[in-house]
Amino acid sequence: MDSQASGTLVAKDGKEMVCVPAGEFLMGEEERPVQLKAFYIDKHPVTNAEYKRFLDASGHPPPMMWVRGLYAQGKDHHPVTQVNWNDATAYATWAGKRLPTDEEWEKAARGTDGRLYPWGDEWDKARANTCESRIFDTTPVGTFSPQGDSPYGVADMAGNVWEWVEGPGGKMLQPLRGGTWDATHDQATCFSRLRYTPGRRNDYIGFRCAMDAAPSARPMAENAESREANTQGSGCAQFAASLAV
Amino acid sequence: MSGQTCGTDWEQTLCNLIILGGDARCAAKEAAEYAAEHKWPEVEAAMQRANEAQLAAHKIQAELLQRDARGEKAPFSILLVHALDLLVLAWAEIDYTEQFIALHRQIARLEEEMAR
Repeated sequence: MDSQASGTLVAKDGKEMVCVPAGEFLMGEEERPVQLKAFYIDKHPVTNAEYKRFLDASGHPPPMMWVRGLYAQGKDHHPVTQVNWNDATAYATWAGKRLPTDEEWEKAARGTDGRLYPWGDEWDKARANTCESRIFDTTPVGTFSPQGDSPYGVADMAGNVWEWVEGPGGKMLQPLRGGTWDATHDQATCFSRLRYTPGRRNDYIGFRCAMDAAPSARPMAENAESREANTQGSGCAQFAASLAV
Repeated sequence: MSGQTCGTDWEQTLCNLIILGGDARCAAKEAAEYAAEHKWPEVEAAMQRANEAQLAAHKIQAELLQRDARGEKAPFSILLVHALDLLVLAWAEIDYTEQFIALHRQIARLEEEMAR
């Protein structure tokens, strides 16, 4: 692990982001080494309430099962669903972010030691919302935190909703990662992947955002908060320091 | 579906599932036909209907699973098998239709380029 503790910051959309330091990690079932630059990723998937703020600010059309532009009552903190890849990208752009790449998502989920699930190699239904939990619905983001968190403290990386990520360009299908409440745990490993056309919407598909850990990067929330811990030299400390200037 | 066929609460639920699965399939097929004719607004509208139907169907399926998790077991019947079968078929058809549409969009773009 290049760093267990990660800096965090709060971005324009008010969401806490976690720093994933630069360095190598083991990708895929075959565990091939991949080098990545430092980046930030949302600690949780984007929720209904957060997505509603984006809709109100942008005029973007709401998910089709929302009634009169409103999500189901009591689901403020559930991950937004019924969003296609284009909706997710529009939100990310509005928030001054982007979708994580396929590689970034996987590193954020499993750290550097090639583990199968965010918390380790053994499946544990008490750590994620999959079919085995017998909830058969989304759960508020962070419900399985911290016991289900990744080594970087990123929550909901196994189960709850499949998450759109940025795949290689020019492809007809875009990847989704992390598994869902509607599927079994074999689809919730850190390397599991589903692929859909970018127009696909479903009630088990959501997303979270990422951003580069570079000083030139993105607009932050007013009174943006940045906290750093033990990430010196990782690429995250420098970025957070630049925000504090 | 007649009221006689869908008599009980369970049967009514399964009938709704069958209807929605069928609606989703029909709309997806319609979208594929429009795509072959490069009628894009019609494609979008038909896929919207397909997605609305499959989302509503999936909501019912999730409710069935939630009831099962609470100990309210669905009586096993050929209607149940048929309803779930149709739903899976609708999802598969929507998947392939989306790829079919994407291919036709690429064909349309190439045809436009060649015409220039």
